[in-house]
Amino acid sequence: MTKQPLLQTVGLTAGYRNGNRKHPVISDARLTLCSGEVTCLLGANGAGKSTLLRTIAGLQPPIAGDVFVSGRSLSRIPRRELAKTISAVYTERTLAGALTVRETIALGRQPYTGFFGRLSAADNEIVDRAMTATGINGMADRYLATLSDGERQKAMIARAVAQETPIMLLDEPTSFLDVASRLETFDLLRRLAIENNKAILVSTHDIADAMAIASHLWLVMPDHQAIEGSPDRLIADGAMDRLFEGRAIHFDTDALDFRLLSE
Amino acid sequence: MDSNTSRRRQQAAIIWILAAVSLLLATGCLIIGSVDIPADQIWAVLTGGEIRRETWRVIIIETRLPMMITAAVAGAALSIAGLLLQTCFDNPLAGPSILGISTGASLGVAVVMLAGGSFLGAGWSQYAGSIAGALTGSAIVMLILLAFARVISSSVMILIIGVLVGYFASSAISLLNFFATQEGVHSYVIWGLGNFSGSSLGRTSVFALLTLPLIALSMLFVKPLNALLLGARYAESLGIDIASLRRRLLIISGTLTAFITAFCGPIGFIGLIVPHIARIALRTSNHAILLPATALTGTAIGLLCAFISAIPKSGGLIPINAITPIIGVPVIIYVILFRKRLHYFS
Repeated sequence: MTKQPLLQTVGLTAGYRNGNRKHPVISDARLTLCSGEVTCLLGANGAGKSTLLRTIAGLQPPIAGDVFVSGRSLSRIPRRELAKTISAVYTERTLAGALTVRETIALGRQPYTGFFGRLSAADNEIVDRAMTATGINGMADRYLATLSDGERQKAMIARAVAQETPIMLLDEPTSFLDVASRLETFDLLRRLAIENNKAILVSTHDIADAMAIASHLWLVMPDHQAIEGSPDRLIADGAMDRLFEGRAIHFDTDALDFRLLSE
Repeated sequence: MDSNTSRRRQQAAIIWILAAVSLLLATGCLIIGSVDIPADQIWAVLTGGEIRRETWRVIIIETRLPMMITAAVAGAALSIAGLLLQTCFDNPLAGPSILGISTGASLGVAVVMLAGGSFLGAGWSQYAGSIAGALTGSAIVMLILLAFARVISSSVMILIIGVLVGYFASSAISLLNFFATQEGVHSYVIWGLGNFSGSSLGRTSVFALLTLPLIALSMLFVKPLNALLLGARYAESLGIDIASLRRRLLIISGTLTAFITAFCGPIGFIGLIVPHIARIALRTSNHAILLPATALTGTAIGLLCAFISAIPKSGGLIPINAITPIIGVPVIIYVILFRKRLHYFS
């Protein structure tokens, strides 16, 4: 079975430029994202997951190589159109606490609305549907600041859903969540991918959850190489085992999670 | 849905109350002063009716009306500048005076008044010179802030840089004062105390005509300002060119600050506190409501300061900068103490 990828990177070297000096963090990566599935991005802290996400989101130009969406180079897609193609969910705290949940989600319609950002009836309906899809209907008029971390994360995901993009990127969306909210969030992402045929890329440290929902994995290895594959193949290759090479853990193929070597 | 409708209704009511209070204070500014003028005579002056004494007409048209207009416009403008800076730098404690922009503008005015005063003389040329000086000074501070914003991502650090730049400009002003003539120093000190009065209706009109279009211009930024509430990364992913947006917001707020500073002196606190008062009163961060509400609250606070400054009937006006901290400090302390309860902080 070969799926046509929606997004692919070709010889992608991602990193920072500082004047004329380049600091590559990830080099020569060949990665793909497909619609209708969740892809998890795994790797140690500092391996370069966030840099890779920023580059995929088109917020940072690649040092070399390119990112293609439906065969078009990201650098050739105008800002506004890009905002209709890729949405993002971050965990940073914001000053938006005195917006209502509904107002926050409606911000996702900005790439579509006119100069003053007025919502049409169709926009309002899309906002409603995004709330239903994420299960936060009852919270529409609550202030963002009054939500729990899990509810807030769902609202931010609903905002990305309202942006109606074929690709959705999430940067460690579960890092501050309790176990219930974490599992609910992963389940929500899995359903969104299947029901709305979205290509969803999630960077995470929750390996066991990632193994449970991801049909595809991107691994950023300690040597800054990025590789991809199905969970089964990456386990069989021993790639999962090398993900934290040099650290005192190994990948337990029965538990589908990392364990201390001493255990 | 219901709580949403009632919230909208509450916000509309508060806007009407603010408008009514502004109108009341505006009337108060026309009535209060060292000379008692009967209310019917004030009305007659404004509507072009019969007046018993010509001096009353002069007092109203050339003194009280300009002060009222200046206070209203300056209050609104500084508040808008403050709100734009707070959203732009993602920091509720930002403001034109904290970020050193008004001190930069003051330095520009000081150069014109203290060093260039002898060539320019008094009158319109000095007036134009002060505006040019203030614009240059605030532009330099904004360029410094923008340059630092490129390498420093923490908004608290940017705020501290602004405070430091302000100190730097202050010390340059002190040096200028040291070498200036006694006369120049005297007029500069008076200007530095903050003043909504002291200009003719003609100059006040120029001031209003320069400032009001910029306030109107700020209203066009509702959509990107709301996106910025989510943080720079989110705003970028919604299709906004952050660098260019920041530049535009800084240019508007810096130019507003420069005009007010050239005209009224460096007015503290209003730009910092009014956006907070508006947010607390209207319980929202949504700029579609917050921007006009901030302008209106700023108008009311500006007029309140002008009214208070005219309360001592003899012995002149109280300097505006003696009044703004009395209103401003309690507001800031309230905001800091109760920030957990104020939704917009998280």
